[in-house]
Amino acid sequence: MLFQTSEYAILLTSVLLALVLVRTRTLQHVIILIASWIFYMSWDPIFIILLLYCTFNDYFIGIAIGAAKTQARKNFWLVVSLFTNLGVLAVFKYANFCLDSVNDVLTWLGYQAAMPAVNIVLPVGISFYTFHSMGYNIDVYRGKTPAERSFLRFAIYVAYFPQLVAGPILRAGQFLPQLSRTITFDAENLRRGANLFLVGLVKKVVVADNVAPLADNVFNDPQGLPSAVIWLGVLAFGVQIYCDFSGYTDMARGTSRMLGIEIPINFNYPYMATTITDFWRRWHISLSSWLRDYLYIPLGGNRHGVAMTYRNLMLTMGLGGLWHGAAWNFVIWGLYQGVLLSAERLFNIGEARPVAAGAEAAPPRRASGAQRALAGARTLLAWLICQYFVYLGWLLFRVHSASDLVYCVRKYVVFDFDFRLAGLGVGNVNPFFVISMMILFFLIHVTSYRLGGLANVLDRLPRWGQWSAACTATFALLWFWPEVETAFIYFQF
Amino acid sequence: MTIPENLRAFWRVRDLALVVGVGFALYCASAIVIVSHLRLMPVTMQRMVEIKNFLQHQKPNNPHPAVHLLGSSVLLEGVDCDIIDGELGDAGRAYNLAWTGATFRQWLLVLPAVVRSEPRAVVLCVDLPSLSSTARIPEQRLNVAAWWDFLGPGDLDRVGVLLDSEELRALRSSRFSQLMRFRALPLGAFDSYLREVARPDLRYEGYETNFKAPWVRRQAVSAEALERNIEQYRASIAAQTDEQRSAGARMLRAVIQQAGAGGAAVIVTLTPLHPELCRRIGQESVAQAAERIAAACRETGAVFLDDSAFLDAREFSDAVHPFTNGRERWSAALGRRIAQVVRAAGG
Repeated sequence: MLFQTSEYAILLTSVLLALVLVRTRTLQHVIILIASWIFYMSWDPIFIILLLYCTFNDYFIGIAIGAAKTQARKNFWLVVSLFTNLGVLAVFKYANFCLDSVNDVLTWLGYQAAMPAVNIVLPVGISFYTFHSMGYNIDVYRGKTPAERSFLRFAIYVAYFPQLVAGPILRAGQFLPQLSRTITFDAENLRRGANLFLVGLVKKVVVADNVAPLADNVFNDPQGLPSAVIWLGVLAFGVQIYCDFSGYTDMARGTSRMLGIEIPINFNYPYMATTITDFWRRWHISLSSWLRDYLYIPLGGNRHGVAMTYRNLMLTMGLGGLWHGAAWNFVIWGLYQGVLLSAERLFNIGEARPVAAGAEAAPPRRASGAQRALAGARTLLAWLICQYFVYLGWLLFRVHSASDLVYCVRKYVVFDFDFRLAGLGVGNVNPFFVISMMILFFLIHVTSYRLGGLANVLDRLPRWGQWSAACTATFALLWFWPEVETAFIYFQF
Repeated sequence: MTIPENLRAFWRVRDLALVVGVGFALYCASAIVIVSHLRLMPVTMQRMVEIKNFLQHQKPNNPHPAVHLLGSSVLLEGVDCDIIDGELGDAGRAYNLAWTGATFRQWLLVLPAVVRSEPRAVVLCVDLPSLSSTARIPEQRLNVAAWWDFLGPGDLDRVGVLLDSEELRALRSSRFSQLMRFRALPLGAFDSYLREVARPDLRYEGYETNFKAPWVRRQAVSAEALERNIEQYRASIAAQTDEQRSAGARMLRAVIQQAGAGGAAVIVTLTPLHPELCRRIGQESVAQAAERIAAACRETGAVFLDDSAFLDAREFSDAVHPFTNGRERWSAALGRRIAQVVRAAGG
């Protein structure tokens, strides 16, 4: 059940209606939980067993950690939680990857591949909800959050339908307290939630889904394509993945806001970052902060010398890459991000200089025109260099075959200046439309960054402005809605 | 907070629903203006609509009996109906009603209008690559056919038995669903303009309403492109299964019967193939295909003209499309034989 389908519209309307008519908090929670489970079962009813397993498992472990009298018992239950959650991921997400890798190594060494393939279907959103419940138990262990006694509330925390399959990854401390009050509807929340949902829908349907065919056509068979096409493809994929994922997050946050529950932002204009460190503060914020708090810092962070800091960075980003998908290109992508972060730390260039006229970017008051121009040029150069490496990273993320990856990286890095239009080689895709769409996206992206966010701008508009925007968005959605519905990229993770 | 208070919160944002409704209405109005009235859609679909309109209004305005030629881009580029008219003399006027990508199934969309226009003869130009095509009619083309009423209720019953359920569903969809599917057409118009109309190697003037020589190639493709093209066709023909070939022959029989339903003489011609393509496919395969068409013609009383080896290599612009010299020679030869059939049939 995708957010942009009529099935989701029916589910959401039913939930809103039911919540309006129900006055007790418990009954409201039951409705949300049932809706969440129905939402999850719409992919495959059998997957509910895994979700229930994670819910029961971590609920009881959380209580056990909370009730443990000694540190040893707490440690024991934490290990059980980590083992069971990571075990689920290992079996359902990484088993085939490990077996295939062992077979590849055996074949490479000249032995006959001996490990049997396991036919396991990857349950949608598994990486998100296992991290959810695992993070909760670590928080209980650290004493940051009390063990949740209400099974109902905990089950909602794990399965909350707006963010169940693609995040943002919630923290128990932020989410559970919001369930202690009865859900009441407020016109302002409904309006702001609807605005946010609409912004997300436009990002996903109008931009991401229309740009996707170009990226797909380029990277499904990139051999022989000139550099211009590879660049075009990677730019298209960069726009696609951002609009797809941040569009999903906006719709999730919009839905949740309508219900009166706030979930945190996940993106903060990553394509305006001027350093990779800055990029990771803006891209998939809930994952990067999760990895920082539950992996990088426990590994020692930057507290044990330079060598250990780099090791921790590489380990965190490598595992972060592996979290995205059970394939080597994701591991390479993660390690690549680790190398870039380490390099920035080594040369002390990790601090951000945001592009555009934000408060932080403002030059000193007494700076002369030449100094301001120089500062602006430095920021622009930093932005270009950062984005060059970000998009090179998207190549590693998108291209799965080793030979294609080598070819694409070579064409991306060593530009061949072949601009033959007839040789674009992008199948039945209209590249001019996609390029127009990408230019439009970047213009809106920069403008909304300068104005403090598209949804916030919408919220601040006078009523007639909001009407015009909603009317225009509906109009654009209907005209640009692609004929084929596309699932969200992050659903596969 | 009580239930009425909750409901009041929703009531206070009723304008949102209203505004979305206005957006919807604006879309519908703009779709009617842009697509239905201004016909901003891919040129091929514009041509299909113009063919249907031409067939509807042609008979009362034309003193000469008509000879309608149906086919794909091979016919579009390969036949000049002015040359055929020269051969026909007073026996009739020929009209090139081909469009790009037209297959037997797609011909079914205009055949009722063809029959109603009471032509003297219908010429079905069959090219070997599409002979065994079982591809479903593209959704957008079905939608255009549905909106412009290519098929009346009676037609749909007759032709419907040859279409699959998805195609029928699209043709029987409500006006509202058809309108909602218009969204892809203006973008498609932009796309087809860049891909086809703006190409310097094609003369594309008046394509939508030109029913004589709609599409003329200005230059033949390069040797490398020809090689690629021949290989593509060879691969696609080689991939056809016996089942697809039988289905193609069955569909051809049905199309011939539909085309001759009004008493018109039906001529089926196997269009010319580049000699190198013939060699790679194998003469035996070409002969087998010709025999399948001939058998269908024998069963249905149609005349079969095998022109697969009619042109030599210099008369092609690529693997299947005749070039200027090929078009002139083939049109004249086709015209002579059509004239014979028309006269023999009493014209």
